[in-house]
Amino acid sequence: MYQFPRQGGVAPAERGAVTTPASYLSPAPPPPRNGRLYRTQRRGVLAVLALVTVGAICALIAWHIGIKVSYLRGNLFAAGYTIVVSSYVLSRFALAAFYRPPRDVGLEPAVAIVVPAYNEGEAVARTIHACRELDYPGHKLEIVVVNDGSSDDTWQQMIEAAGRYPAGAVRCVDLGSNQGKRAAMAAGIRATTAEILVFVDSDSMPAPDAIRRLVQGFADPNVGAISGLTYVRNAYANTLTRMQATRYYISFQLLKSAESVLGAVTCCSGCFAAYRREAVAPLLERWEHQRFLGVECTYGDDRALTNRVIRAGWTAKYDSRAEAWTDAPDQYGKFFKQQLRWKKSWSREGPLLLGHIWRSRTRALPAVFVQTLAGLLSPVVLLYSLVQPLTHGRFPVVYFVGLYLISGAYALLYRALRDDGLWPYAFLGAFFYITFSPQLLWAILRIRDGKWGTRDTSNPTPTPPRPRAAGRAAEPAVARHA
Amino acid sequence: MRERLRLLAGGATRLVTGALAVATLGAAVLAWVELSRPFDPEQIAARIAATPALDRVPAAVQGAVTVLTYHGVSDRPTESSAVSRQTFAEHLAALRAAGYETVRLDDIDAMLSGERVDLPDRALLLTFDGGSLTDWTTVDPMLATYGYSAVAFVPTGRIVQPGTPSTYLSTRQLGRLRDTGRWEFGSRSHALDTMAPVPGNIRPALTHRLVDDGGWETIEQWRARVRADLDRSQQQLRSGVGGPATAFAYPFGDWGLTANDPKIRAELSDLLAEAGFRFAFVGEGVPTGHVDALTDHSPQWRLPRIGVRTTTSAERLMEMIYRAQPILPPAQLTALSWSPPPGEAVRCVSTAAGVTVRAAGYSLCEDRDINTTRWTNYDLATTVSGVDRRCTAIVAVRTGTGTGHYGRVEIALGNANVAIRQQILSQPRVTLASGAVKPGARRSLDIVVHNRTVIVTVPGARPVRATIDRRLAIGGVALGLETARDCSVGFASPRMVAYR
Repeated sequence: MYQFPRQGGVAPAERGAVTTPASYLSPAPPPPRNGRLYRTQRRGVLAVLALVTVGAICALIAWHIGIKVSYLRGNLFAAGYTIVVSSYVLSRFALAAFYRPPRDVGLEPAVAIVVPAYNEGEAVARTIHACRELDYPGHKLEIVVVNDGSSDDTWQQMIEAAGRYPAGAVRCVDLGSNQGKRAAMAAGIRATTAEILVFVDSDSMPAPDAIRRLVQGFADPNVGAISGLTYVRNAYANTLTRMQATRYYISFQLLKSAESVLGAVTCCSGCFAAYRREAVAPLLERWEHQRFLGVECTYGDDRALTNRVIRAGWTAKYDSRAEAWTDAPDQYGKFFKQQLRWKKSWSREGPLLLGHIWRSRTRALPAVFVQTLAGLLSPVVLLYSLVQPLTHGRFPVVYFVGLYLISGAYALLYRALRDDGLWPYAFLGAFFYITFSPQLLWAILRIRDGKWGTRDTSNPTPTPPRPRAAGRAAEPAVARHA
Repeated sequence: MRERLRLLAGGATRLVTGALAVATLGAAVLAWVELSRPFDPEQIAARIAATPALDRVPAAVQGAVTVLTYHGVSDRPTESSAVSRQTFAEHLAALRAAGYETVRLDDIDAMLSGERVDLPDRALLLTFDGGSLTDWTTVDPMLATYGYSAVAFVPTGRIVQPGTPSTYLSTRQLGRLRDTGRWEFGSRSHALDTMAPVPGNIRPALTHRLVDDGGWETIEQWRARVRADLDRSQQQLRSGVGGPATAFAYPFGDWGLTANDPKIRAELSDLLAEAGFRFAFVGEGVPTGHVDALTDHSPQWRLPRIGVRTTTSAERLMEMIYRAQPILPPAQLTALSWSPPPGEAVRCVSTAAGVTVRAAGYSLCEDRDINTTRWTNYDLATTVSGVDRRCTAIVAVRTGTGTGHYGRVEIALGNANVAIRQQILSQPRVTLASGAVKPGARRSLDIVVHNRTVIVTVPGARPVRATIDRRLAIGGVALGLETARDCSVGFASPRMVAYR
């Protein structure tokens, strides 16, 4: 998530000049032990029980689908929607059960961490220090911090923080004017020649071993992008962040795991993800200057980049052992604005993905198809279900009990994997997210509006940079042929 | 201490949260299962009633089939016409005790076609109208227990897809019923088993020209509508139970008697025949008058059935069945049970030697429980005693009792006269013919009844002959007297010889 432009936001306590990543995590639980999905923690009896119940709910849903299929009649649209969406949800659980993170093969390619920053203040210094703390050989690790024309002291903070390390270890790039996150990222990419590019948001914090783990997946020459697992750092701040924390965890461990099994993680999140330069370089220009419905795209850079990498024929994976922490919005206003951005980028990139997935990653087509179609329909179906008692005089109990069961499955899965007391928030969160899912309709209506939403009037919209001549050096492809 | 309390409170909160989650999840699972389970009720174990002791067993009449009409059988009736399981079990037990055995529709078809059919002595056809779900859940297990078969008259348009909640059968249940081998299927129209608007009223949709789209259906439109409906029903049965139906049952038992166009009554049977039906049943409703068992003489498109009501006890049912048996005229009339009209002070004494009637005024003794629909042509002979100038013996033939018509033909034997009189409905009695006879204490009386002709012969006098009304084509025999005072008349050894 690009905090752009940042307006206060993170609590001062968390913005303190603490230099080690571990201490940033202080309000958060200790990072879980690494391992495969479902092995993140020692399991207790309750965890096993929760997992068994998840299985039981899945079996129940499967039974329901079976009945719907064998008794197909009446309102075929409603029945079809139920069948397709329930099958999709089930398939997530089934695929995630088969997920294994990439094996550690001791790969150690040259890595460049690209950190775009806009009005971050001292947070950028914190991120620089955290990146320097990473357990990765210094001569193979390059840190590129890009100042996107900040109006505060970001540039000074950068220079000062970089000055603490040997020359060349931390490179600072100044765009001079505010050109947007994509321009900042692209500048960062062009400023380095490392074969693996890792994007870290300025409010994100990778675990010390995260880079080492994240690059292991590139041992497979077809892998073009890998997403890490991002936790919410300020999870315990309030109910909102608790719900987001569980949501993040479930989406990574369930949805990204499932997508990874199919080799098409549809969004390698901006907080913490790695790309192969070879995959990114050819499409850098087009990505940077992506236009949609006649306007320059500002948000959704991560999903757009992953989307293009997949279209070019690369696979996108997820590594549950490469962990990072990020800040989630702790105010509802900011949260809804962030969600609006995400929903806009989803509504733009979803159909674009669907447009090529049939040839770029055929096995992921059914999932992408359902996810796109059902995702677009779900707010309509929700509103329809809510209106039904008024128009048809009956309450669609099956629909809501179904939602309840699926939310229960998410919460119990969370409880099975993590015993941090947050599982009820997974439950609450599922309903919370469902409740404002009709926001998608607004997002679609406002899809051409490129504002980030948190902008105050004194800050002008970033001027889209004009396309620049490509002046790239030939990228080495060590990892690809390693 | 405070620390411990805090921990305790935390533990309690977690416990409550967990318990709440488990409870709501459990409720959701149960609700989900209940909501998504397809509707497929199981059969209910058969209820068995004790074998009753019957006071009298309906006569075994060769070539007659007793047809009963049920609707649903249920302890929670959704239709007012459903009988309870206990009542149904008692019915079956009584039928079994009386020795009834079920026959198939093919037997009926063959019988009506005039073929020789080997029917059981007491033949029964159980029919279930309306395609009720209870045919499957309740009736079938009980039929299996009692070893009976049945016919379901299905309004095919009401049959649902498997799994659909309904009080009607589903296609799968229809198939299962067929697979038991116990069930045969007839049609009760496809969707015309409803009341529909006619000008100023609602009437059975099958037999009326309806109001449609503001206009009144023409006879052509009626014909097209009925034809399409019957074809649809046959088609549905073809795909549902593997063949078209030969039997039809009129919804509401209405075969067109009150149709609002005379052509409907005339043409409905043609339309039925055209759709492939070979015979049709009426008598779905409650019998108000008289019901006959089926014989080869029954009208093909108006086959009679005994309608069973919710309140019909086993005794009442057996009584109706008893009265439905079209027995042949008995050789000895003394075998019948002679009884006075209800509430009248008449003595009817029947011994092996004969029947004696003692009364004041005008009285007839009769067996009111027998079915005399086959008493058409016969010779009745008896020796009458006790007639004098103020006491006239009466032998009534073609009485409506046991046939359903009102009226009779009376042969009045007075001291010096014999007369043939006729009464129809409540019209006054009319003397058709009379003649003089010789007075005597004991005189033999011979009555020949043949279709519309009645010939009375008293020895020593000219036979008296009369032609009776055609409405009095069948009927029973009554013995009685007419007097101004109290007198007694004896009918010694009354006997009948029936002929075709």
